Amino acid sequence: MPEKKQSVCDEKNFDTLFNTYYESVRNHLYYKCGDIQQAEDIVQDAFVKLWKRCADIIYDTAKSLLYKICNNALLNEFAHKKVVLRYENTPRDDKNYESPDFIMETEEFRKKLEISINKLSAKEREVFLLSRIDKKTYKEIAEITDISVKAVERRMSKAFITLRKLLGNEIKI
Amino acid sequence: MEEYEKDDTLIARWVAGELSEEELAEFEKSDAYHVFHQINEEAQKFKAPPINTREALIKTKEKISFGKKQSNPTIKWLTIAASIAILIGIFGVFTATKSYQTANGQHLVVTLPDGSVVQLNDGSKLTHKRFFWLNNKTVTLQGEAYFKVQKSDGFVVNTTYGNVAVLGTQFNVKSRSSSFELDCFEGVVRFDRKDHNEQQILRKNDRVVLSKNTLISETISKNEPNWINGINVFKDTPLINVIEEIQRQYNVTFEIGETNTTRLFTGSFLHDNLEAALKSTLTPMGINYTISKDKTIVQLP
Repeated sequence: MPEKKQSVCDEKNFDTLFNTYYESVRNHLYYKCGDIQQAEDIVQDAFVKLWKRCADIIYDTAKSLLYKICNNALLNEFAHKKVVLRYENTPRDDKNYESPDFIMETEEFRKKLEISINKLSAKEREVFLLSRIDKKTYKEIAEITDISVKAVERRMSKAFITLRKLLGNEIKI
Repeated sequence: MEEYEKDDTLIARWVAGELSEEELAEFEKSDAYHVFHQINEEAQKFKAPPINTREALIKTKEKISFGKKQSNPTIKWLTIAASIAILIGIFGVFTATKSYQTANGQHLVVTLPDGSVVQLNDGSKLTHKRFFWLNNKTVTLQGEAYFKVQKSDGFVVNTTYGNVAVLGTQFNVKSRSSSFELDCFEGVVRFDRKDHNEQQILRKNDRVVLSKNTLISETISKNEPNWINGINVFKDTPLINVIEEIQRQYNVTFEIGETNTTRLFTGSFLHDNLEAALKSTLTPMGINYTISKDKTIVQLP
């Protein structure tokens, strides 16, 4: 039995699309521009566009279209600001054994890492954060950024090397 | 030059855990490994700014309905349908009508909301607005009816030939498919002819007949229309109109051959005996007729 084509015009499907992709698209834009308000506005406007053209859109291609609309919108109003990230303090089993010095160092390291991440080029930061924060595979990142997996890997490697250089002297071995 | 610098995807593959054992061992030995490791570990503890997808969805939908034009088609149609339903409802209150109808051979007495009494002759239909009728006392009549109207302003009978305006009176209106007659038995009525800027005021015992597209005034000497008393009276009436009247009163069908039905008839027939009625109308005209056994069909030559 042929599966019935899902329509973006169906509000239920629209909501599903929104709930599935809103966060990842917003994060992606944020990693590039560093302006959370701008990122959210762009994604929301993109969904508005998606809705208005819902009749012409095939449900399965909505995701890539969404990324395309957002990327184009960002290109139009790109003004990089500092990316501010939250740091999750995951409780660790061996916490009690950490010396205050070590914790301090880690705290320090985290701050410097954040500063360094902001110094990465937008393309490197985008790949690095999509992979490390959003836990996206290289294949997924390749789809989002519209480059090859190989190129993603190259950017990823380069991001690490750049970060190391930026942090370089700060780290005690 | 370190291996990770020569192989430009090595670090990426290490991050993804795709290195072979040899590659990994080699990489771990490098000076920079420690830093890369720490970068990787710490970077994974970062999180993107907090998100509220639900709120964002609501906001997006506000944007959609704000920018408007295209809303959800289903909702749009439902809205339109609901609006139409409400409009029909309102419209219905103002236009809802009440009808009284008589079949052939049937009479009906109707009392209108203002106390006026209407006697409907057979095969007739009286319609008036169901609500707010007292504000505009208009009735529409197809067929024939005898009105005894309470004294008040503005009682109007609509017919296909024109309107009969009333001021507390008794009158008979006959508005059949091919004839119009108006008899005033008491008081005053005014007939406004449709599409002919023509008015006729009728007082007691006045009568107008629309004949060949002109209004003819006559006088009557009765107190009530004849049909109320079970008799139809004709004066110089084309035979076809008489036959139509018999058809309605007795609910029979005439099958007419070559008989000339435009000849004029003067006379009457009773409502309670078909054979007597036929005898009193057709025989004087010199027309032979046959009645079917079930008395529903009358054949004329």
